[in-house]
Amino acid sequence: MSELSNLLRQRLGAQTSAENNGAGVHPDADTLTAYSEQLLPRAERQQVVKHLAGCADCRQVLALSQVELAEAATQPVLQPVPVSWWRRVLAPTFGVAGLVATMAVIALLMVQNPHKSGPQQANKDSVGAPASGQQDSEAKASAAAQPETAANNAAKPESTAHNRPDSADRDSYRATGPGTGTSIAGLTGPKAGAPNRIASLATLATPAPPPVLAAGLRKQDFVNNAFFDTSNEDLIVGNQLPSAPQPMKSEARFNAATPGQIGSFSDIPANAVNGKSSVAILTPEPPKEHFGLSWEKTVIKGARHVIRSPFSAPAISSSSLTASAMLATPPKFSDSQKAAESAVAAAPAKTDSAGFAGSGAFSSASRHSLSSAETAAALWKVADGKLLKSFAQSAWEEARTPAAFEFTTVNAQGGQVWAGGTNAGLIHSYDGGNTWDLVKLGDGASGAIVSILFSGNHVQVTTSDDQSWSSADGGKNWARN
Amino acid sequence: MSSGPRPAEGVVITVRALFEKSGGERYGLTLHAFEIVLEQVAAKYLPGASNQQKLDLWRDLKLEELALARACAAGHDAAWSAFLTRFREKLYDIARGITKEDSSARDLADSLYADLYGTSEREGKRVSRLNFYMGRGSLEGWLRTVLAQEFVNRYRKTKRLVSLEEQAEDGVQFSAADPGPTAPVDGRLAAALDEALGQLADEDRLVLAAYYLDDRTLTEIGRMIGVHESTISRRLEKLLKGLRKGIMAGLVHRGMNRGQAEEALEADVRYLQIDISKKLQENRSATFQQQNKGSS
Repeated sequence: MSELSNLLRQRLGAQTSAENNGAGVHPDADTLTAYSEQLLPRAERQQVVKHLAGCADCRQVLALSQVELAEAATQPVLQPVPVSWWRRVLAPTFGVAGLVATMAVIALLMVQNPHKSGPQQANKDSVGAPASGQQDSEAKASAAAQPETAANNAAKPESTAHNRPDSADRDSYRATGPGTGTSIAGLTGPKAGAPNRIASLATLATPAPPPVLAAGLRKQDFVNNAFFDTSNEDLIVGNQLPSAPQPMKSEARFNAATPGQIGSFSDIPANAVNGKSSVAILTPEPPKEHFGLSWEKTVIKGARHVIRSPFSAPAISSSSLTASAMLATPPKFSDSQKAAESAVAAAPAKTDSAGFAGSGAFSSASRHSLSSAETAAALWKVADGKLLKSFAQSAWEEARTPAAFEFTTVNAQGGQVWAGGTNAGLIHSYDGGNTWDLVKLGDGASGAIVSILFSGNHVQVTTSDDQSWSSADGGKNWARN
Repeated sequence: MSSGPRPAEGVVITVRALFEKSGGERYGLTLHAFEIVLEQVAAKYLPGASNQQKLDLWRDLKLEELALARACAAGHDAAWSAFLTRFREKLYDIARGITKEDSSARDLADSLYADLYGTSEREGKRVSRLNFYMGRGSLEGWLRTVLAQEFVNRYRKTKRLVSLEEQAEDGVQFSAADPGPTAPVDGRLAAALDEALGQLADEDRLVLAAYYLDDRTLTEIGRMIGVHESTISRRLEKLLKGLRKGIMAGLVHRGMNRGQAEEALEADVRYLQIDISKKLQENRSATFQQQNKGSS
């Protein structure tokens, strides 16, 4: 069909230029704006379309004035440019360090778990996890029963019992001690014991260790000190080796880990908040599949979340919130500004904010607007002939009204609510819809109420039969205009 | 019902209510001034309208923004500070969206700023362009449109460098640039296509023109019409099919048989190639899609 398009170009060009010479008046900026915001009455819209079809200039103005939706949509993604910059520049060095830091966090967890597991864990597990805070004499006795492995692994801290064994080493012998290389515990053991070594590696690789690393290590030290503090009395004094750990069931370890404990690590990535910290490097994809442990996922997810939030968490505007949460019928316009238009009448708590409602709450039924400033107040709308009311974010509920007629429009301001329906039905509430007065328009009133305007006691009502009724006394007496 | 010297009670009530809704008082606008603005809007868009028609028009206005704009134009400080807070940065953003380039965007926005503030004087009075805002669309949308007009004006090939609003005010509307003589096609083919085009709805012709003449993307056209781009895509397809059918019918009607008609369509197009590229260039320069041709 390409042959047609070429021909089309030519004839369209010829036609539009011919039309243009007779087209005359261009729509002004207001009309064009109203057109693109779909606010024009049908007849006028047709006129504008007709003009646009023949006027390249106006088409260009219209196209240029459109909101750049694509750009707006990608903005939240484009904004965290600093992150990608950091990544690009620092990935070679901090990428490794990031992995290390992640491992450190995992190791930290491993270290902390037993400490936090408490006595119940030790009791439940008859073998007795040596990591549990309460290492009783039984455990020591059984530890002595397996001196070989223990001695091997505990060779480093042998120096003295007064000398507190290095935390990582302690951890490593404890983890590897059981020698259950095939179990998950055995898998994780070396990693758990690794931080010190890896940390020193990282220090070599990166002259200035990232804060998170230091933080992680400090944290780990602290954790282990605490562990040793509690179990210090159980350590054998003198030149004896520290007690060897018991082989432990893997479930015991992992049962000990509850997601709640992991929360204590959330303070580590918090460094990233200032936007400078290299914690951003924690973002490399977590090795989710590595251990298959649910709590690991939790940690890493948490870390990512904290890091990402300052940069890339999309700002949820209150208007979009209200648009999605409060409008029963989803807005058909993509522009959020247009989305504010819906059959919703807002009842602002303060008259001060009423000005913002300005444009819409005063217009016809289909065009009551909802401004985000008023979302806290009661909201009114008409849908399917029903009068609906909503407070803040709660769901729409049908208002209790004295007469059940098919509602067509509602206007609310503060506690004052006016709602109209078919057959010139009109009700009014002074107290936000708790009590209603049935209002009778003058004789001869007919048609559905299409708009209600009021200001204090002055009320003006228009019906679909093009009648206009006004009242100066809050609806007691009506005069037809 | 008729608008006499004393407006009907309903109008008075409405105007007062509208004024309250607009919050014009905050910006230093008086009820009387607001009433004048409303009447001005009605006079512009519905000359000689009944009260009811006026009320309908007024109800649909962006009252708050209208009040803000007009209070700015009248030189009220509160209004200006509110306006700057809301639109200062936005204006630059919009300009950047239009020019796609920073420095010319600043230039464009700044010149509009000057207009909005009212640097030009008429009879000793500062005339702000905000006086031309009628509140039919949103103020932001209006600023967008005005900036776009300014941009198109600025890079228009012709001598017209006056702003559209000023021309509108003077009653002089610009007319499109003369696209020059169009190359003659086979009379029957052109006539058949013209006929087919003439039977299209205005909106369909708008879609075709935007797509084929302005080289707009489907997304852009969708936004112009207010529908989704996929709708445009389907519509274009349907339109082309219909047009082709219409042309064939037209050619047959003009005495060709079907085979000849097919042939004419294709042969003529091959013959047309050169003309079309020329034609396209004319259109391009007319709409200033070629930046390098722009001169201010």
